[in-house]
Amino acid sequence: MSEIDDRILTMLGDGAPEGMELLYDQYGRLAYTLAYRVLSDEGAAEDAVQEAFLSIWRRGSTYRRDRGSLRTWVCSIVHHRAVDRLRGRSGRARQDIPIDLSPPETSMSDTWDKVSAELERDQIRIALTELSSEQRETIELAYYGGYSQTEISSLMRCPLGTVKGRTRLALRKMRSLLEGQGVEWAV
Amino acid sequence: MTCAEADGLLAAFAVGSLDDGAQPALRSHLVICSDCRVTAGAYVSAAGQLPLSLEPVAPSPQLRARIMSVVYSDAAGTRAAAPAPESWLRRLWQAIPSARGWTLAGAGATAVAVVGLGWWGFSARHSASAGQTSVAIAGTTAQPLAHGRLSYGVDNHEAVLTVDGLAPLTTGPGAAPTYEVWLIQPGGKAEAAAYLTAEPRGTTWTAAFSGEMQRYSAVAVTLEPSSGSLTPSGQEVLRADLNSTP
Repeated sequence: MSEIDDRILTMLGDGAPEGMELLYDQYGRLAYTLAYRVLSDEGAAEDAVQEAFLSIWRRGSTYRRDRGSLRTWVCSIVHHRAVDRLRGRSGRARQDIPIDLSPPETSMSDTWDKVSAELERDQIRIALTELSSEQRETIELAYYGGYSQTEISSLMRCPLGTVKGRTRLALRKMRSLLEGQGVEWAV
Repeated sequence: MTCAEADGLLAAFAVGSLDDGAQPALRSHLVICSDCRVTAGAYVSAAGQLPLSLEPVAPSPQLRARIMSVVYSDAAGTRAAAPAPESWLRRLWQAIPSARGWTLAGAGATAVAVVGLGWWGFSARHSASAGQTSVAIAGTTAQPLAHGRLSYGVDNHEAVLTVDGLAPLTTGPGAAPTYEVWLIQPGGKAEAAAYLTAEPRGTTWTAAFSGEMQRYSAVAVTLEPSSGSLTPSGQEVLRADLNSTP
């Protein structure tokens, strides 16, 4: 974990509001970018980010360092809020049940702070182009469209098992490709 | 559930496409299977890279200010809502037109408004107690200057919402709109709870209502027609999370 992330978590654990300033300065733009991609609406995206960050402030003590990087955690919270808004807007209900996770055994130290944002973006985009068009569309419909697997199955006119397989293979391939590009894996 | 079955569901979970009906079984499997928990972590990490592929978009500077305003307010605890004075509750009850009373009753809300309590009984019960909790509520982009606090008793189920910075309601031809308070269930269903009433000599708005706040994930305020609404139909102007996990 990076030094800044460590400092943020310590401050949040102490209930120091300055920790939220650091958190926002570190991840606010990424959070908004993600929310805007999902919602395509500036106001709704800001509201989703606001809800997510205030939720982090009030529940920051629930973060566990052995459960993944701070960035991944922040993005997952923002993603959930954005998709909830998207589904609420379209009338699709979403029910979220927290699921305990463990980081991969091969977790490595976070060295993202050493890689420029541009390089990161290019590498991930390259990895995405290596996916099949069906895999990429499945991921996009799920992650940015907020659709369930059943809904994706209907939209793409393919069996549910195919959707599951494409999702699984896409994520495995992404991880493999990014590791192959020499990117240090931020858990 | 086998690990092979769980594998397909874990990837779906990581990208947010897990069907609701599959969650309980998956969760039960993860409780007992450490290998699948590791797999889940790997999928979540992979999905976590997706936002990094996006071209960055900057939010407005006001977003940071709104968030920090609530954060520092929470930290300082300086905006804790005092119990509404008795005269306020009486005015609140008298200010509710009969049409609104029907709207609230028609919504079948389990959060019962002050309408059903009697103002003097409510004010007598609503005093600072050890079971009191309060949360800050923030304005949305629709009303970024709005802010307030919801104070409620964990045991007596009575709540007071106090808000400042709301835009005055227009008084053009026709009935003025109203600010309606909603309690949001974890599944997203909204229950009508109350209407905000403005202080005659100030800019503070107040609403008093009852409800088991532990049952709800959020409280929100929307702009609705003068007769209120059975479900939120207007612009959301304020929202605060209550009991949801991040």
